[in-house]
Amino acid sequence: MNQMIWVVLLPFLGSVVCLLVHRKLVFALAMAASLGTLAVAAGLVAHVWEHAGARVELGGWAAPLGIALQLDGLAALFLLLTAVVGVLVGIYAGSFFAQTSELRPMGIHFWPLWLLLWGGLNGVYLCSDAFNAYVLLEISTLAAVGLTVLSGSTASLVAGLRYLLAAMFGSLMYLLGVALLYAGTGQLDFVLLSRSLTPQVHVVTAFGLMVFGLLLKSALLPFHFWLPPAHASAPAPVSAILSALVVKASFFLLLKIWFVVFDSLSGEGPGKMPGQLLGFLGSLAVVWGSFQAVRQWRLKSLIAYSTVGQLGYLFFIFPVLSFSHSPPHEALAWGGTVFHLFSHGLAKASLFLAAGCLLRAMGTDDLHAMRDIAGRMPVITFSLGVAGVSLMGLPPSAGFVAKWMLLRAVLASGQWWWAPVIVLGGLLTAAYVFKILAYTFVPSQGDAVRLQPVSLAMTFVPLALAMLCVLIGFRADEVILLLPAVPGCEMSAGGGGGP
Amino acid sequence: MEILSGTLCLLGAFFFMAGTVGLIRFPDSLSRIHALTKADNLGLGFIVLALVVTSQSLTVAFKLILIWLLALVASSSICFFLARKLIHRG
Amino acid sequence: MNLTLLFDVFLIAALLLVSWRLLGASDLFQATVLFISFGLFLSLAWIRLQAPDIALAEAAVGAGLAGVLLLGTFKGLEPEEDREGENLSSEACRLDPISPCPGRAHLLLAFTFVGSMTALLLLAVLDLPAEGDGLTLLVFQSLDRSGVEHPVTAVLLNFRFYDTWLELGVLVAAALSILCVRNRLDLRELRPSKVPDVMLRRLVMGLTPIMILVVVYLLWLGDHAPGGAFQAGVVLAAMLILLWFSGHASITSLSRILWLFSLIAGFAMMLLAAVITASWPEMRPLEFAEEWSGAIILAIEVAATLSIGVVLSSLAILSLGAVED
Repeated sequence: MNQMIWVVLLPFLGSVVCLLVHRKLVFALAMAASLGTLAVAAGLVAHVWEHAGARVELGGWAAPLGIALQLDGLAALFLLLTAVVGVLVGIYAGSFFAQTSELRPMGIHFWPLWLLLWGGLNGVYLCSDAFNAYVLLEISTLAAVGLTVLSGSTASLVAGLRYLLAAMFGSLMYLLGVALLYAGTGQLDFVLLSRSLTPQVHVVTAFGLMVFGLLLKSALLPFHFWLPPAHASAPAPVSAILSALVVKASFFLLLKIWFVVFDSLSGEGPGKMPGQLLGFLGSLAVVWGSFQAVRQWRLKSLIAYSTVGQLGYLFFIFPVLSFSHSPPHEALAWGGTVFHLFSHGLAKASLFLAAGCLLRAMGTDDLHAMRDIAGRMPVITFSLGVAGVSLMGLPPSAGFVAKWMLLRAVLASGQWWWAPVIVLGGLLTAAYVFKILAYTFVPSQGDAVRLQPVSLAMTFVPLALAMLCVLIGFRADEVILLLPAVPGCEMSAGGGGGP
Repeated sequence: MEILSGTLCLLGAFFFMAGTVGLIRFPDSLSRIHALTKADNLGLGFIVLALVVTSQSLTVAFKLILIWLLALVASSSICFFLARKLIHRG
Repeated sequence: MNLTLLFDVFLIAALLLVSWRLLGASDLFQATVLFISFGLFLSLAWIRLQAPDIALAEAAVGAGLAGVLLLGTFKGLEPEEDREGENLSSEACRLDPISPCPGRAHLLLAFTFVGSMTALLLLAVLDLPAEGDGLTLLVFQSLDRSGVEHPVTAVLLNFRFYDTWLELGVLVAAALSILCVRNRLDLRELRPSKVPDVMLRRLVMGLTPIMILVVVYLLWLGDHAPGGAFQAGVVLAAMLILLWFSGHASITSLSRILWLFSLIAGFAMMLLAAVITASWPEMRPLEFAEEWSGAIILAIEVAATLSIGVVLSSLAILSLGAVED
């Protein structure tokens, strides 16, 4: 299973090469690295499908001393999502940075930073060590901030600085928690930590600090303030990456911390409270984020607020699983959450990329200016529509499967009070999706903006992402079958032991 | 040896003290810099000497003296830069 | 024993006093100077905690480099016309002109947060087991298989090689991000804001050989004593900044490609080691054969020193330098 490390090595290799070669070769080499990473990720999914998870001890040093990589179903799915979105966004970005002259030569920094970010994200998915996770989060954060400020506009600099400060603060809180755990147990490995934790004051404090830091980084409601400006002011491919992938990495780590490291703590007795709290914040996010999205008049701000809202759905897994550990709800909750991750990742990438096309064509992303776009840019409008359908959760899209499973999981665990939120969120989502679409159909009154040409790659990548989002809805069974290897269910896969 | 190094240490401390008193008591920036750099260099010299006397090996003694020389160069140059800035400002 | 206790009490009091004054400072210059002295006290505290490696790093980065960066930023915040002698109020720190920062509500929120955090951390630290010394014993047991003699180096460059490699990646990401912020492709044409004078040029010229000696010494020391790539890299960075500041040839004279090469040398070297070990059939990723590990670690440390020095000095030059018209 040593090829696992290649999902980290290939993007890093691409990053280093892209930094050094001539600017004409950059795109080809970056795509080579991207496709290679996609191939390795697909291979890892196949491996989990056939043999279940695997663990690799780096440098041959066993767990308490060294660092291990751990592959399981959840990690494999995240790797696949990142690779699919990564390759498609890469194709789009090649055309985007070649065409958009105002992004100047700085576009050349996109590739090294993005590949560095990709390697960091893949590292997070395979990570099995609390401190290593911190370093990986740092590398992803710094690269993501660099990408945010790529355009160099004042708005993006302010947004980028705010993003940097919020994310750094989150990382430091997480690190403080890790330090407490290490001081208490002398362990850093996730599996070994989970075996040696007992409910003491310092352990609970560490739990709180780590969860708080990761919530800040994954922009759950009261901590969402940094997200909309950063995601709205970045160049389109960067917004797609940030919204579809980067926030999800912190969420992935949160899942690992919650369900692997602190499983004994968060599951029972008084541990129900934090789960309910996260569910509550999640439902607030669903309602507030979607409501704010409805109120926006700039397309990219609207999509960014929609991310705040959609991220809220991810947090229903915590109350559902902390209430009852019975297999049917568990499979439903995991399935729903992972499906939501997939559908949101693909749909949001599609929306941001489509918004980038519109911005390119019209010179603005003001909704009022989008008159008669449906007639003049049908493919883009169609992508917006399809991705919007998936966000709303209408059948047959993946979004529908996700929300349906979440709804059933919530009801089956006897916590009916989350169900209205899920439904209300869907309605609000429908409201803002129709708000976008409605403007594209308003006939122009003769004074319509003259459209700049948009390249084929930029037109069809959003469509491909939106179509994938629908198609994956038909593959629900396979995804659920992969998931029994999720961390919460299969602890014994981790080897560990003495040196 | 102990007594010698102790005496040297105390002597160094006395010069440091004098430098600090000068820093606080002198009226203007130029004379403050003067007090600080002159007295402190000497103070550091005595303390380094005290450590050299008690040091185990020749290499350690050599390193200590090197540190003193470096500090001497650095502090006198910085004193010069500060003083020139002050004079230029008038 | 009592004397050291007295020293510790003084040190803690000084740390608290300086940080309190720092928070209360209304003048950014004063706050910067206090921050530098805070860094120095902190490195003393690390020495008292018997962590000389961290003390070196803290003194060099926390007090030295961070001070340079803060002073550079402070200069950049100054209004265009030279208003000497006039204090810069904290109003100038605002990035976002709309929201009043910090308002009364912000302060209250911050104090509540900091107060409850302190209480919580105190409780947590008091709750920690007293005898735990982490993995120290395990590290010493495995030291003879690591290829080096100093435990910190063994942890950084063998047991937890992956972490160190990624940290160098963080440095690369930081350098590239700052380039994006400054809207530049390389460092050429960046000059210090003042014309360097003869005295400074001579001084730096005299100091450079000594600094090179210190870099090599610290690097070599890392094998068996506190020191190593990071500390050596910071000294290298200081040297490069001084050379640049006094008008000598420094990294700003490098072409873009050479500069990028030295920027990523450490990261790329470790990547190379990772790629080779990962494609070697009967080896685990990042596993070094025992007889080779000493040499590999040394080679990586040299490259890492170069990268750390170049990245840190680039950060300073990018934030201090100005383009001549």
